[in-house]
Amino acid sequence: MELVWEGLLAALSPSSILVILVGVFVGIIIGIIPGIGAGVGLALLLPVIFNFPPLLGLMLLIALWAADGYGASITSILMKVPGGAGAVATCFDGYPMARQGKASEAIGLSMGASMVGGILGAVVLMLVAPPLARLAVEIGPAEYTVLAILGMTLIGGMSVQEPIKGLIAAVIGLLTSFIGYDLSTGFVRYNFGTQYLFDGVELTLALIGIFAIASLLEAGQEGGTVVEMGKMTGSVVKGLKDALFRWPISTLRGSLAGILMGVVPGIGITLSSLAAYDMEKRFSKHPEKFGQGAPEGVIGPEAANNSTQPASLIPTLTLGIPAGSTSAIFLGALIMYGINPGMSLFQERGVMVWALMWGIIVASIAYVAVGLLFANFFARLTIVPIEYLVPITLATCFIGAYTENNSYGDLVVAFLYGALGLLMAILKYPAAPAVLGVVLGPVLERNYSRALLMSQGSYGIFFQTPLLIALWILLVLVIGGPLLLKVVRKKAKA
Amino acid sequence: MQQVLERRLEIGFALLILAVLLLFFGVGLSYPARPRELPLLVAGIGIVLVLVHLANVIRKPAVPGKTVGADWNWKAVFLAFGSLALYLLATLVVGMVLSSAIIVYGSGLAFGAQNKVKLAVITGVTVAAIYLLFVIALRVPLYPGLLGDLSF
Repeated sequence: MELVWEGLLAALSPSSILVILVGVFVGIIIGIIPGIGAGVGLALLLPVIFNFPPLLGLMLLIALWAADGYGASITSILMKVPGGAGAVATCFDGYPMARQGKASEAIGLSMGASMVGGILGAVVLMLVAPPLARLAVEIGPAEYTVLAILGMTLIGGMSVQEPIKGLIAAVIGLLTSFIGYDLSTGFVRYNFGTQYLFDGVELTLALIGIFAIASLLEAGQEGGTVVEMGKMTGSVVKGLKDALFRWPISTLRGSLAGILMGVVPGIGITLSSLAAYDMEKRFSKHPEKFGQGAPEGVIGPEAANNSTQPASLIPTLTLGIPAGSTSAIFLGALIMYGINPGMSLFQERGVMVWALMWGIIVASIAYVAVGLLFANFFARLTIVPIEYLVPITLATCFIGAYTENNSYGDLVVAFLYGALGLLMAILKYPAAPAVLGVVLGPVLERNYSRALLMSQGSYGIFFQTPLLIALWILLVLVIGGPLLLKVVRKKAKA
Repeated sequence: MQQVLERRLEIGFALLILAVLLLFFGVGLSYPARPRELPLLVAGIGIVLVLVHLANVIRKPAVPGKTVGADWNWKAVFLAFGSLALYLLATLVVGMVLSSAIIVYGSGLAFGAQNKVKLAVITGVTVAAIYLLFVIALRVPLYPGLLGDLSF
């Protein structure tokens, strides 16, 4: 208990607060720029924090990471351009809200949900990090395979109008993920003789091309302003209040989804936010309002992607297993300071670990404070003429694409994805399933191959443990549940 | 006319995807068992889906008033897309910072900016902001191009 208290005091020291505010500010800016996520932000700050005391250096990284999720939602809402993979789902209802003149409200919703998600994620990290980490280790390749298949069921919710187009889009995404060397055998596939495709195609490029460039070209050719009616309604404070008091269940549900998925290494922020969106739609009494500016469609994904961040620290801190690329860079920072992650970390560097956990909570509150200062400014961008706003954002997108690997080839790939995304937008193919395919493809293939290697080719491995059986039952329920519900409702009506 | 265009576009895109899927399937056949397993499965499913979709498109009569792309400003899209292609070529020569001007000015014009002086000022400010934010503040080495540019 003493360590908890000392950690809180360390997190609230003036130098920590200052560092957190700087981190939050930089995190919001980095989050806003499409393609530049927390991972790049952390990597850019590593040389800067080298001379900082460990606590302050790590606090800066934590604050940047925490605020990035909120920052990424801003362009999703304003321009339908996700600032990062975790903000894809926020576009679905955030942008329609902006079109209706409710950009401030949507930003407020995102802010409130992000804050609660971040705080709850940190609390879980404080209370149950070691047991959750042990549970995460229990999840083997067979479980990951079923989890990835479970993730694929989200496609249904993303392509209501023409399901076949959603499925084709998902196939395109999956096939893209197979380009490059096979993760289990090292065999290089579909590189068509070029060295550039050896490592495959980055998710960020697909995101920038299919989502951002296509959305921007669509918005640009429409002209006018983002706000369709020419005037703005609602306020940031209203959105903030709504996320906390009007839809607390959505906020909590999203946070829980993010925590559960964040703790599993490799599942990541994209899936957690898409799953939270799907969950909100399934639980809603008015699912038909989703995609047209439903506030829960912003709250769920935002709570999820911000609670994923602290949860992903659980395996990183307790086991030294990074849950994703950003936590791998954070792990690098720990090692740079000579701090070895593991269960003993909580005893050996107790004050620092607790201070970092409190730091996430302080950062979550700080980005609401910083966000409130700038939210109205951001919202007013929706009344700037499209012909000036879109070109600037397009230029930033290409820079975001380039910074992924500092490769000119990435610019060309983003451009080609943009062409694909544009055709998909014109012909009304949903873009989200394609992104989901790119995300889940490697998870599915790597773990499917590993599981079969472990079982020497026996498919029985996918049904061996109680957890697997539970996951299969869940899969059947997710697929069959809505159908069953329809039949029951029809019978009840009759 | 619009319906014919729509149908051609829909069928053309589906055929393009079908060609890509067949390419993935065909090339995948030459790979060893494990690396080809999922790609072949996914490409196979994709081929079936696209064929079903094509059959649906061809079978269904065009619905007047429900034309895909009827409300698109094609000229703006082509011009803006052209400016993106030009940006890629220019980046090879003058680097990313300076070539950003092509995207901003080119697509701004494509999207109907009337005040060209205002657009030029915005373009200049954007290029300067990109240089200051990425090259100076964040120290991101942007592509220098053949001639080298402000990033070095």
